[in-house]
Amino acid sequence: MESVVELRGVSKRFGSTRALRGLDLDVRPGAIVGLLGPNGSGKTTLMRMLLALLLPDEGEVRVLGRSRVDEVKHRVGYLPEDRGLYKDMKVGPFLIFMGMLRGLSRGEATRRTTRWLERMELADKVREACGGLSRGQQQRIQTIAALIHEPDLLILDEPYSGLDPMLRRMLADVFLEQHRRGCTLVLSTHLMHFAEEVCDHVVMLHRGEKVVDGTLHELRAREVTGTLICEPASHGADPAPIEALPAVEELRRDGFRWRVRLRADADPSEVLAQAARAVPLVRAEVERASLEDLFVRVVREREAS
Amino acid sequence: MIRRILVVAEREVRETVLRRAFLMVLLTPLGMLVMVLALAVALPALVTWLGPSVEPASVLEVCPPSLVEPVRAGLPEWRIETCGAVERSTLDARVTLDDDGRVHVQVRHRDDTVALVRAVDHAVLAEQLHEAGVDPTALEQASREVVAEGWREDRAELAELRGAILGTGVSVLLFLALLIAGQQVLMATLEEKGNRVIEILLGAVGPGELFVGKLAGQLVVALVFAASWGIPALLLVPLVGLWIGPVTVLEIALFLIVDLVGWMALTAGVGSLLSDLGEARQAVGRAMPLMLALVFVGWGVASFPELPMSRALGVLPPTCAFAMPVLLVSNAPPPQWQVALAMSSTLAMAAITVWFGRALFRLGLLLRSRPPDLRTLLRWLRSS
Repeated sequence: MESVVELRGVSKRFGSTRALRGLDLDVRPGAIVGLLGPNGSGKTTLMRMLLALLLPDEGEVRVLGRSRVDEVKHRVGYLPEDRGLYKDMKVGPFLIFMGMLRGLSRGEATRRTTRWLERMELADKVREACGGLSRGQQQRIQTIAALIHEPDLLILDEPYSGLDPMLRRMLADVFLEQHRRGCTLVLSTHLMHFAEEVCDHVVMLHRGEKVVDGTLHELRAREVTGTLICEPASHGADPAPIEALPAVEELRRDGFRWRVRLRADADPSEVLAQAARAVPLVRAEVERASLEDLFVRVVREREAS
Repeated sequence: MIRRILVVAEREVRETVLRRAFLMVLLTPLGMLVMVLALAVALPALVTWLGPSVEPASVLEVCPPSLVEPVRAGLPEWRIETCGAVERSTLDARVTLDDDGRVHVQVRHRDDTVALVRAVDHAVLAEQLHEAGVDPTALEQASREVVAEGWREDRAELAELRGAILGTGVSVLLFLALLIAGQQVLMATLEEKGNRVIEILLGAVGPGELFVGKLAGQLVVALVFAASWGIPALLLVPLVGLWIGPVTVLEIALFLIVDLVGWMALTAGVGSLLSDLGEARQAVGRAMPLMLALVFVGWGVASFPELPMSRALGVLPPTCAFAMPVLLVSNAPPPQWQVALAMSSTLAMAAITVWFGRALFRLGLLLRSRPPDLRTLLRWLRSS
């Protein structure tokens, strides 16, 4: 299947700063790809290149099968990190304008504006000036502007930054709806735990270089630690039966939970079953390194080498 | 692509023309036109109302009665009464003869004295001549003064004056249109950068489409502005005895459009490099001497259109864009080949500024730092 996004040996330099170095990337149709990395790692530069806002010094960028990205912009939705609206323009005309820019007729853009404003609980704001809205309301308007034409590819640069949990959940649901519709999502975030919840593919950037590229499933399988997390059914439960298991090296209390370190040759899934039989548990799982742990480890390894 | 450009242009027109400040700018010349017309209608009535208090029907008391008829002959429209026939308060003037035979003229307002004294003097003289047996008409013919009047050929001067007035008017109109349009484009570009809405727009359209759409929209706005000043001016021109032919109007409109496109493209490019109002004010301040220099060029060409210097300014770039429309309304219009040459030069200049403005626009839109110096800018342009 043809990639939705394809980068080959892409480099970009701003003066003496190298923003991207020889980057290769493939995004398959229907994926939710998280671009992760600290500030200055090249995420925004990469996203701007996907929309031809910046052109690479070297390498090739293809989006939806075209190297001339301007030709497919009407099939792409973009929510930039630097979000803005026309302060004096009213909400309704702004969204209709954005819809028409993406190829919708005036009538269709008007219908979709009404529908989306209701979906985002902003139906009563249609005649208000964008500049008079709260930050959260403005963010929802900007999100509608990115989605109104039902794009095939949605590029979201830090879509959850500065949002309260309720609004973050609302937008995450909207993005997942788009994904179910068949839209491919590329989103950047430095909130790695949020990427773990939403993304099925992760690309980590560090100083313009790709340091990790894989599905979340692959990365999690690779990052299994030799530790179990157990939460007993009762607060005063005795952990001795688990400590006595031959594969267990050490058990440590961690609040309500027990952290059980296994011997090097132990099979975690087998010990998990034995532990559940030994003591009544409400939760038992093999501990995995978080994406943040993974990122820190990879970066340290690269810097050491 | 064309559709997206039109959508951008439509937004520019709607959001600019419907703003209160712009509506005020549009209504100002219409208001001035209405005022001038109202004044023209009301002026005669006003003059009558503020006119002299001694009117044709004013009351004049003449004593003795023997003077009545001669005075009536000199002032046929006056109501003339003999002594004691009218109330003193209704009198506007009084003529009396004293014992020494001197005639006294009293008037309510000093302004009336000259005309009245002349008429009474004339009447009394006629009466005295009549009593002396001299025919006043024969005497008048015999003593007629030789009146020497100067006459000069001022039609050429008048034409020069008219040309200079029209030329200055055209150059002021061009200046105002360029000034307002440049400011509009600068502020519109700066607003999009300042609001950070620019990146959302660029996610939907190419920078070239945005640039052309913005230019097209603001061109319409500028033409609406120019029409709001130009049409009342064209209506007023015949009222003051001047005339501009329809072909000349069309030629001036073409120059105006090409001038606006080139100027707005440059302004949009420069505006994209700026980040805030302070930088914009600085840029406008730097451009102002250039703009004022153009007005002086316009005034000079309008005043001395036949000078070789004026002709050269009219056909050579960069002044031709401004000087040729002024020459077109002068009393010595240029030949058609000069007009065509000036239009070609103006078009070529506009093409260069559009190219340059577009390149700057693309570079500057996502720029967040201070504007680059000229050397850096040229390096960026080369590498882009």
